[in-house]
Amino acid sequence: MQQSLLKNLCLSSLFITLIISCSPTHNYTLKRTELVTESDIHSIINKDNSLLYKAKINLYNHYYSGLIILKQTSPGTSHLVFITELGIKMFDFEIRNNQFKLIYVFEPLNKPNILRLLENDLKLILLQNLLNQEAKLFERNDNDKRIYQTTNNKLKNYYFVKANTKTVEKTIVKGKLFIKEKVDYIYNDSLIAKQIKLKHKGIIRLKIELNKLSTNL
Amino acid sequence: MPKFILYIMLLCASPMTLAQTAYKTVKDTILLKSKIDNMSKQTNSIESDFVQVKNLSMLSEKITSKGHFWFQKQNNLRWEYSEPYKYTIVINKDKILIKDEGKVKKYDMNSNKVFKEINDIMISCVNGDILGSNKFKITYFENDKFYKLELSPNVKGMKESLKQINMYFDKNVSSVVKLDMIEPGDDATTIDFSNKKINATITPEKFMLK
Repeated sequence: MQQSLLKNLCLSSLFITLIISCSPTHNYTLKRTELVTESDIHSIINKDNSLLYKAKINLYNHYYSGLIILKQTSPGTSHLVFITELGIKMFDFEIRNNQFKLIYVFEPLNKPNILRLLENDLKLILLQNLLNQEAKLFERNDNDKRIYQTTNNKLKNYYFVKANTKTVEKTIVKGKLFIKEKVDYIYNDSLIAKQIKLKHKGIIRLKIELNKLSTNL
Repeated sequence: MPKFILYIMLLCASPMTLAQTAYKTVKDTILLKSKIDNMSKQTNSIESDFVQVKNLSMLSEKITSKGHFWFQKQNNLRWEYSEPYKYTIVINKDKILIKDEGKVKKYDMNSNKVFKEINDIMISCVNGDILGSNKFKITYFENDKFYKLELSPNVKGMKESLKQINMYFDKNVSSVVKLDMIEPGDDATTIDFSNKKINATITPEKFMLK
């Protein structure tokens, strides 16, 4: 009886330890909750220049490749347009005040489930779930990283920010126990994201990879 | 050979400058159709350079890409982009082969609706199905340098993706020199063909990817 209790206690402790150590904010201290603006993090959308990315999207057994154009068309309004290499426009999202609006979709792609998935992932990539949102700020003293945490659709989003450049290096979307999605960013010297990789974990098999093309529009 | 093959072949004509007089309606459309038909019959293959310009009207942006193009009867196509990215798409009958950043992917045309839709548009431009299939209303124009065919889709399914195709032929009707694909919303893709070789030998390997 006593041996069984001891065994259960050990297992519970181990489980709790694992859960705590798996938390993205492990070893970080909650400093405050604040409204995150573009003065706190470096936006992916560039206000001055259009950005052109080579895009690869793996969705289940389908592979789509093409170009993504990101352009701010007026203050507070941007567009994200995906065209194939052959020049056929696949979709065009308008992003106004953090809201996505579908302007155009190529008819064969016009499926609510696909569009919802794309919209959610593109919002995540463009930091739309963080900018102008209330977020918990976590910091630690021994490095220049900070973490913003928001809650979106019952999932926790963790944004790992390099403090001196204010660039988001990584985003993790976590459920109660497991990581659901991960986005990694690599920046060039001008602090423009030159590579963005998004990957779902679990049931949804979706990967998005964007590589910035050096050509100017 | 479908008349449209001709058109595409014509696509490979010499580069043109579009500084020319205004277009007016062609009076003798039967003669023009006959010339295009002859051109199509005499063309078995085309090889050409191309410059593709995507004009995103709403964003006031132009994206320019360049590459090389091969076509061979029947339904064999290769678009090889070299700038600003390396990307090759080969259509070999009912197979689509794509080489993107060194990796080759193969698809069955019928297994992917998006590819099928894109292919239908591409091939129909290249092999002439557009004119022959009655899917388009065609209007014929000319000026001092070119013939211009305006093709407007009149079937559901295509109207949603494509507003109009313009095909430009030189006045000798030896080849298509330029192609405009205009989408709803007036975004347009323009392809200019240059350095054409008509009926030059193209090895079968060009329509394979490894």
